[in-house]
Amino acid sequence: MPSDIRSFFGGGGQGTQKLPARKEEAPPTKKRGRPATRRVIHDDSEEDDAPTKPTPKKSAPKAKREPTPEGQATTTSDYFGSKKPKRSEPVKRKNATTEVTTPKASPKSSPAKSRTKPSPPATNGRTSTRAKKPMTYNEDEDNIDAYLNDDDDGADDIFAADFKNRRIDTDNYVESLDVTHVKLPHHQTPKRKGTKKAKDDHEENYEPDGHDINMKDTDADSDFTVSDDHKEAVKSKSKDGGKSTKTSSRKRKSVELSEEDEEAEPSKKTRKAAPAKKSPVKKKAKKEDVPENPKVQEIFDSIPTIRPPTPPPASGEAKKFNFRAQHANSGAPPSAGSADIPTGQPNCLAGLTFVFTGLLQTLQREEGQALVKRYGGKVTTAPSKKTSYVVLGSDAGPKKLQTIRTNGIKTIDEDGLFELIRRLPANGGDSKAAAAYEEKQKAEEEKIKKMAAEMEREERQEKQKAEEAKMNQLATRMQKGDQRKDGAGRAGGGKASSSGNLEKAVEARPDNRLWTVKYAPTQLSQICGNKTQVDKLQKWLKNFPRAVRTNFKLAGADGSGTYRAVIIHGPPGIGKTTAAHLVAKLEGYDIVESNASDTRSKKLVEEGLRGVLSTTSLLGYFSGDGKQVEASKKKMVLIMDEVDGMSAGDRGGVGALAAVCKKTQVPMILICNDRRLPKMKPFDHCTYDLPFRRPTVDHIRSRIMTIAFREGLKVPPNVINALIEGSNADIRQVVNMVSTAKLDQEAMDFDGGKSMSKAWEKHVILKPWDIVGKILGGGMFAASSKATLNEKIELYFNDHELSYLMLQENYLGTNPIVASTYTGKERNLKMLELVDNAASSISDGDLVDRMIHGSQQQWSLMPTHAAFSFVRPASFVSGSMAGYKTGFPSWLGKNSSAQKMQRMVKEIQGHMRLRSSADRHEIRQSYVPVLWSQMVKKLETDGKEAVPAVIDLMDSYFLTKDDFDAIQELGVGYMDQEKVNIESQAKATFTRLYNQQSHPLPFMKAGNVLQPKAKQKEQPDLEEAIEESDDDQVINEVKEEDEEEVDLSKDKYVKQPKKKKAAAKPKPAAKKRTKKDDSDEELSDEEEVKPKKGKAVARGNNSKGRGRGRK
Amino acid sequence: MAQGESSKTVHGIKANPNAGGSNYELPWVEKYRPVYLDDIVGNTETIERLKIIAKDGNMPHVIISGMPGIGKTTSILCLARQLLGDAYKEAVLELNASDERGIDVVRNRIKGFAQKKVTLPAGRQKIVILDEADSMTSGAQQALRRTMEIYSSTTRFAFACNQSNKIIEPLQSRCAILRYARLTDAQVVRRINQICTAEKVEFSDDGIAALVFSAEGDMRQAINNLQSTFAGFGFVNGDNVFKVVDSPHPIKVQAMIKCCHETKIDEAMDILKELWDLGYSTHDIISTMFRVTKTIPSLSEHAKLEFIKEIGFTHMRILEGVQTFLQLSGCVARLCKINMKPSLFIIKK
Repeated sequence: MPSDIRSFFGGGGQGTQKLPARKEEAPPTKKRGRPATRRVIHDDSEEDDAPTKPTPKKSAPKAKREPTPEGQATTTSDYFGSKKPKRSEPVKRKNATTEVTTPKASPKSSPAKSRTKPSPPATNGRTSTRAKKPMTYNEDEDNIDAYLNDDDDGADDIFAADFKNRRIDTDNYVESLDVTHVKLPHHQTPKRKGTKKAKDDHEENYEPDGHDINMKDTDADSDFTVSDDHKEAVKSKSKDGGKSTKTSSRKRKSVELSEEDEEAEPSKKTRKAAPAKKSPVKKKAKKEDVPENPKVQEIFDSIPTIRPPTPPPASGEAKKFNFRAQHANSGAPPSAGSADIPTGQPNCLAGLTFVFTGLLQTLQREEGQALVKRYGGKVTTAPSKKTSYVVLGSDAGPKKLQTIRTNGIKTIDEDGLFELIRRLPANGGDSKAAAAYEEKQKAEEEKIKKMAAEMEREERQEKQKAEEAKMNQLATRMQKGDQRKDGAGRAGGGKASSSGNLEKAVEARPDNRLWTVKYAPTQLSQICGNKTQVDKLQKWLKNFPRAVRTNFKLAGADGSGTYRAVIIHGPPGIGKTTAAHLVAKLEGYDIVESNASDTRSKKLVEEGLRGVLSTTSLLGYFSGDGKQVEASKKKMVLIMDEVDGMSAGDRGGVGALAAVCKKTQVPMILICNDRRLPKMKPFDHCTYDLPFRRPTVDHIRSRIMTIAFREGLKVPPNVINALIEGSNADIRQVVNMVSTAKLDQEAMDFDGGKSMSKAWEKHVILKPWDIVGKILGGGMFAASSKATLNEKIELYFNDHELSYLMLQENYLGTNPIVASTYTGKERNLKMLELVDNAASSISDGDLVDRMIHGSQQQWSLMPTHAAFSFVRPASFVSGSMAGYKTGFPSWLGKNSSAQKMQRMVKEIQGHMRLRSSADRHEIRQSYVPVLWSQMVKKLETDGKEAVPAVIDLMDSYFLTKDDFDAIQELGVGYMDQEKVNIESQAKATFTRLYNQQSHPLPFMKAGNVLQPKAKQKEQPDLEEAIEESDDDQVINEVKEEDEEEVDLSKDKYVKQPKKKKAAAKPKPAAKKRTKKDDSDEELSDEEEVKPKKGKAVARGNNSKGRGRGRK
Repeated sequence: MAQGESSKTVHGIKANPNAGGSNYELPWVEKYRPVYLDDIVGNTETIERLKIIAKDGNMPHVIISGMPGIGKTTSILCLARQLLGDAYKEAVLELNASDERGIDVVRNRIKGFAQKKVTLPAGRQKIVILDEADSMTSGAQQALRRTMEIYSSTTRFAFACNQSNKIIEPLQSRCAILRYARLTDAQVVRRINQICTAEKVEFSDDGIAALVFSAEGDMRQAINNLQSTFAGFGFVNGDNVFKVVDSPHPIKVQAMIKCCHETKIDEAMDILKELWDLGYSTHDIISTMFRVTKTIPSLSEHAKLEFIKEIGFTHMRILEGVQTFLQLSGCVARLCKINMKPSLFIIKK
């Protein structure tokens, strides 16, 4: 890659010192500026001029070796003198170092590459320019000047800009970035102590002293030979930076000897001149585009950059260096480093793109992002070529580092960010990026104005329509229809023509529609986001008649042809209903809508839709007001909104609807929020899924801007961004917010918008998964977290029945923050301790739970339970959950199977009561194993021979076939059900024989036990009691009593008294149940009473009553 | 009917402040319920917006959420009254948790009301007020979704709720969400002073302070306490108020917890004894301790959790029936022990 070259150049540049620095500066600006076309053009011109000299010389070695020293000396001195004093010294050092080292190492290390190598084709322009510059300087100052002048005018290449800046403007600091770059390559170490900040912008006049010259000379001679001062500085730097090779090259090019050097050196030292390495690439890119405005460039250059740690895959050597350098960096934060968040000029980061990665030291990431956004910068999550800066914290992901490296993105830390904010002029000054941003802004504004005008036109049109004669109306409508179609295709380009003639006086009637209605999209182009989905929907609808003709056999291009129904799903407020209506309207369908406010039970769906599905719209045959009949209106589309809103009273509605979807001849559009709900399952194969996603900020912004513009509300784009992000891209809510804001404000500022979106934040009950993710992995317990104890306890109450179970299931899956400072065995011990604490707290919580859900019903302990079982354990083990898959409480499943087992044991015990006095624990422990070997094992070994004996044994203990299965199921260890292999023949024989014979019953049958049929069924009381008993205890009790008293009499009348008893016993249990239920209800606030329990209780009571009555 | 009720209250409110003595039997909360938005205390910014809405009409759908007693229902009622004036009875449907608001009511009654034609001036719409909307089932809320949109030209909805997370997201997306903050002490004081003057209540400053403190930003509770203190003692001072309010003074409890944190067990015990002698029940004291510990600012979170652990266990024991002074003393002692050196508890021979 060009990196080598760059390094060379850097070396050369260092020789020239000024050049590299500028380059550094330039790259950022160029990056920013890339978008701007102007600059690019200039670049070309510059390149043409300048390149001639430098391009050929691009190879750094050349410059360094031969020409650079001399030419550089002069040039640099001039530059420095004129432009920026600060960097000069450091630059020199760096240059020297770079020169020496670059040729060797540069190719290897990527960062080095960026700096040293001439940038690749796109970005190379910069490098080349750099090279050229030095060259030019060396050769002819006049030429250079000319170039510079040109550059200034055109703001051509970065180099040019740099030159200009240095020479002409003299204001800008020549940043030492280049130098740093150079050094890096030499060492190949990622970290360089690039001089982060140019000392200040404003030592405008650097006098080119002998430093430059010296530097050059020194360069030529040796790496570090520079002015003495410089040398010292260099040495120190080298030590600091990466003693081995990675001394961050501080590339400040300002050549002033004494004063500046002194100042610069410390600053350089302190500032870990990280920028150089990656920045060079950027610089190159920038150079290609257009040279930055010198001042801005200076600022950019002056921003201390950090050498990002090399990504893991890098060579071990490099790695080490990197780490050291990094460490040095972190150890000695730049002078600017302080937690004070600076205030800058409004919009000063305009056009810049930032990526935050890793753990920042003084800022929370959100804070940092908010900061950038406040000043008009853009924040993205993943670094890319377009990224201007990466704000790097510790522990950045290797992937990101890799990207940073390959793209040569400038990395800075918080302090660099602060510095940027502090120093950049309002609106980003006239930097390239800002200019580009401005242009974009302007374009957007124009677009908005256009849209607004369009909207106005439309409105007028509509009013006109209302006023005009019917025929006219019809005509206009047709027109409009055409228009719309055009618009859909061309993003609403061509409305003006048709609407123009329709303009009439607009009535000044107060418009009391909601904004959400008023500004509902009227063309497809106005729908924000989800374009492809909308297109698909339209295509499907358009092709529907054909699909009907082909009987849905042809799938069509996108596979939608076989579906009779479409289901649109996505979060609220993103335009699902709007899109469906609009598309249907544009395709000329008559809309029949049904939503959650209509009852949609199975019956009504079936009957109601039958009327719809087989009919055609009357609008196709008649029309009022003398309008022509539109044949197209015969078509109908059925929109079922809020399908997931079918709930109580809509029983069977979903199934019926799904059935309708399978045979409808009318297109159906279903809309729901959550497609994954189990109740939406019936639609799985009969509908065409169209997931709608939340539109991006960019999608929504222009629309909102348009609305705000139309309403005369001034909202800067970054405020709108904040609103949109705050509402999670809910378009409707943003419109609502803007409309509310308009009530008492004419303009909205960033903080206002932020607080508004905060206040409007939708509070939704979190799902268990989110809860546990938040409490365990969400950093709520991090030192920087501002969450209060109350908020954490509130989390528990989001779902007080599941949250603590979720925590218990997942508390081992974290990487506890508390243990993060330990390593090796210590860490293991610490982890054990934390887990121990957490576990004991969870079990404490279980004690509390007993008091809440047990017999005492102490609901006032709920907050205590929250603290014990949820917050406190989380406080120990909270930490990153990366790589851990959050599980659902397995307790629930285990608990229910445990209860089932218990019930089975109880049943067995109940049956055996006449023969054995053991309680159920003893039955389980002593009897069941023996029974197992006598029954199951015997069957397994002896086959069908053993069947009669087994049945005899069972009869003697009054065990039923169900009990046999239960015993089989209860087996553990070697008795495990899975390990038992009974011949199927033996099994069949057993079943047949058992069913043939009649078996003694110890009492009237309970539960699932086989029963002598009809008689029992006739008795309602009995059955009810039995049903009730399907929760354990009751059954047993019933059975027991029956056994004791009833014996074998199967007579109904005999049994009845037993029933009473059975009923009587259940009472207490039932009461408990009811209590629980009540408490449940109270707790959940919603009536989530489990119907089963409620019914059971009710039945229990009834049966009691009846029993008594009969008595 | 709901409409009737609400209109009655309107009547009452209007009449009472002026009528004064003749209506003395009315709770002051009702008697002094604001009639106009101007009278509403606190949350000025939001109220200002509501005033603009009241003036200009075109009310958006709103959700007002906040703690009890801070004027949610009142502001909606005021807004509706100011918007609709005489048509209030016709054009307002008010449903609260005491009315059935199942899905059927939404589908029939509310939808029917939304479809109803009421002649109103331009910019005015019918208003459906759903008080305590957080107690509506999600099914009923689902059924409101399209209704709110389809009939938005003639009907607007206003929800009042304590927890906005009980309102389903789609409804929140359709509404302007206004969050009411707790009233500041100064706001409560001003209003209470007005009422005292109007009712000719004699009071001392510490009485007012006690009222404000016990109310914790809940205006309704402050006024109720004022009235009961006045009715019971005829004079409002700190002691009387706390007799009426009957809960351990959180400040005292906080001081006690702080003492425990600083291992000053004697002082902590003194405070506990003082509270005990005032006759507070063990339950009250322990649950106040829990609440105070949760929010006490001077403790670290870790310390809070440790304290809560002890308090929680004591709470459990108390609920199991051991409600003695000794129980509380033990709790306080254990709290102190948390921060003392373990070595102090080793008996030396």
